[in-house]
Amino acid sequence: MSRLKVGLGVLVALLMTAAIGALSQVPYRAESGGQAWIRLSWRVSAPRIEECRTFTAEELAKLPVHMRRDKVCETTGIPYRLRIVLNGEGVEETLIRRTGTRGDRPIYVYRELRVPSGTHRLEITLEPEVGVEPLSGDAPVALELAEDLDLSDGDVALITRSEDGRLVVRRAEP
Amino acid sequence: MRGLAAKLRSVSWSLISRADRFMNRLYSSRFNPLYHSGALVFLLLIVLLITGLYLLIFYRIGEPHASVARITDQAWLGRWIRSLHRYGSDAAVFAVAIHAFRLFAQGRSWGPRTLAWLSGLVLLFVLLVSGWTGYVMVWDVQAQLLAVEGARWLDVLPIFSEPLGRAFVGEQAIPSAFFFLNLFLHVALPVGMFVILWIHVSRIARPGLLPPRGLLWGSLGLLLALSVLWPIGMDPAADAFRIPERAALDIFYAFWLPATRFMPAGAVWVFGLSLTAVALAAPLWTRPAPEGKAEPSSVDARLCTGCEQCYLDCPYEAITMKQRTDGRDGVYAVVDPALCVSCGICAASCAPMGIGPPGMTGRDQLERVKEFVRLLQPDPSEVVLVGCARGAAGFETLAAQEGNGGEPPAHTPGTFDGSRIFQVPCAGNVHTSVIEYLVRAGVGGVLVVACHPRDCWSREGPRWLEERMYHDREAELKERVDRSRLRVFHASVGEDRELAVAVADFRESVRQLAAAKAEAEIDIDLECEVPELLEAGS
Repeated sequence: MSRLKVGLGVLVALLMTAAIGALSQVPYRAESGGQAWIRLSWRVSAPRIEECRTFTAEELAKLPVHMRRDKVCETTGIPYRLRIVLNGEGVEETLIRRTGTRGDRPIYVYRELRVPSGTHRLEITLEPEVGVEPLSGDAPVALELAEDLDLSDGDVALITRSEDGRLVVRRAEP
Repeated sequence: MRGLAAKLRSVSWSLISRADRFMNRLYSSRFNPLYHSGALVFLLLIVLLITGLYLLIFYRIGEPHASVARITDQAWLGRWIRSLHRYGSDAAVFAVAIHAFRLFAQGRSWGPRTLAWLSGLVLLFVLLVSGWTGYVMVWDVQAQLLAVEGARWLDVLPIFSEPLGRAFVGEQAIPSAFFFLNLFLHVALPVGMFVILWIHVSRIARPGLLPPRGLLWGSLGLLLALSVLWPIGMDPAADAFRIPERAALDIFYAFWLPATRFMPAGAVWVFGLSLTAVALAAPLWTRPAPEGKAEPSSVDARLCTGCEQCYLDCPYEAITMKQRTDGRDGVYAVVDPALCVSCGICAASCAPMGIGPPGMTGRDQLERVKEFVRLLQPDPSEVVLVGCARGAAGFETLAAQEGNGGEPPAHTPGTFDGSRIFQVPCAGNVHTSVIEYLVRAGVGGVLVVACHPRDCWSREGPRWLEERMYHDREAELKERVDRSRLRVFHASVGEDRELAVAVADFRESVRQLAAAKAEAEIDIDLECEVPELLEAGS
């Protein structure tokens, strides 16, 4: 084997190894600069409501004898209306219902707003839908927040619930 | 679909054969890393296991980033071992990609090889997921990006009542249970990989699990040198209250991240599942058309002596020995068509020529060689090439692949550099009687052109060929055949220049033999009498 071939062989091996090293830690810019995020993340235990209806004769006939009842009731939660206003402009207005296949899980809010860095006026309300009566004993919670957020480049502000249940803004520790 | 697949394979094969040729020139075929991609993966998995055990001792699920930072600060061991673990896992993905690409290009992804193909895909998937969990373990910016992205995908599935992504927004501290589960997966998945690896090689006899020593130590040395000279550093810890703007991304494991982050999660699933389905279905769309598919081996039980040689030689464990039921004592060979790849190696291992795929048995080869010799009119100063259709002497292979669903061409006698070629599907299929017949028919020499031993499409063809020719392996070449008129040369597709040199060299050697023989045949007395006769005449 000639010296040139050996040298070339070593060089190729070194280049391949270096390529593994380089591709293992490629500088990646995941997000452009000059922006900040506002995250909304919390959970609310929505009061239960019960919707009942009577079986039709046809439905009753299909049921086994021991399962025949006058009416059937379905328990779900009160729907909540979420409103987000950013800098005076409505960003979202949505009706949120309890989750889970049986609708027995709490309501959650999970949103991410991407904004330019700077000061932003954020107003959020989460209220039970009007006209739906909860079962006795459950008191619906209404949440609101109105705050000016001063966000630096790369900041993430989290809107969540404090221990006493209010909406608060959490930021990075200074 | 088949036409497109054949075209794709043809292009892939062209690429891989060029790379092979280049690597063979640099490192010789014995140490060509492209030929040992599968064995390199196994070696790297062992490296990952050993280095991983060391890292496991110091890793703390309660303080993931800080504990990894402490490991990295161990200047004399931890930093290098962590780097070796990382680079080793990267190299493993690279080797897997080459291995899969190679087998696809060679058309070794269907029929009896389906299990190996599918289990290989599972291995690749598990390797990537295992790597993902490894990066999340560090809990730096890259880990945050990967975890959030993974959660975003999973949140599309209607199985969680609340989004998993909420775990990473800083509402609450990430529970240790998350890092425990992640660590468990990072340990359990690689252990599971060894089980899948066992399935992966379960249908082949004598799997080559480790590369040759030179390549083994060379690869380890290079990775170690890389770890020492360019150790992996630490990115800042993940922070839910800062946008993860910059990260050092590992392309081998997170190559998809820059694309998927901007795609809707549903679209990622559709794309990912489609790609997976196409890869899983490769055994269907890469298999040749029925008319181009070689038949599996069959056994003529009347001729089988029960010597077990075909059973020993079969690289795919497709042959079993069963008790005879025809009144004779002993056992006879039975081929499982579901496992047979029709390589024809068994045909060359059977002295009485009682086994082989239709058209490729020893008897079929003798018929063909007789016709070949009749057309050839042997020249004692010329050589004949007995060439594997998939090697350098298989000059029609690529053209045939395109029009024949990737199967080798029919046995067409062509020429290479003036020498006639007797083409066979695999050098390991050449029955030694064929070689003897050619020599006895008067050809000057027989040059058997086989693929490089680690590049054999039938795995062990060149190895058994040499054993039969020179080391008395059963169905051996008879002692009476003059070995000076025989030579074996290994050359894969594209190595025409090397083959031309070998042919010229052998031709010269054969001509010298012919000259020496002519000289030996001179009747010295008669020669000496000539002048006397002339004198008498004058």
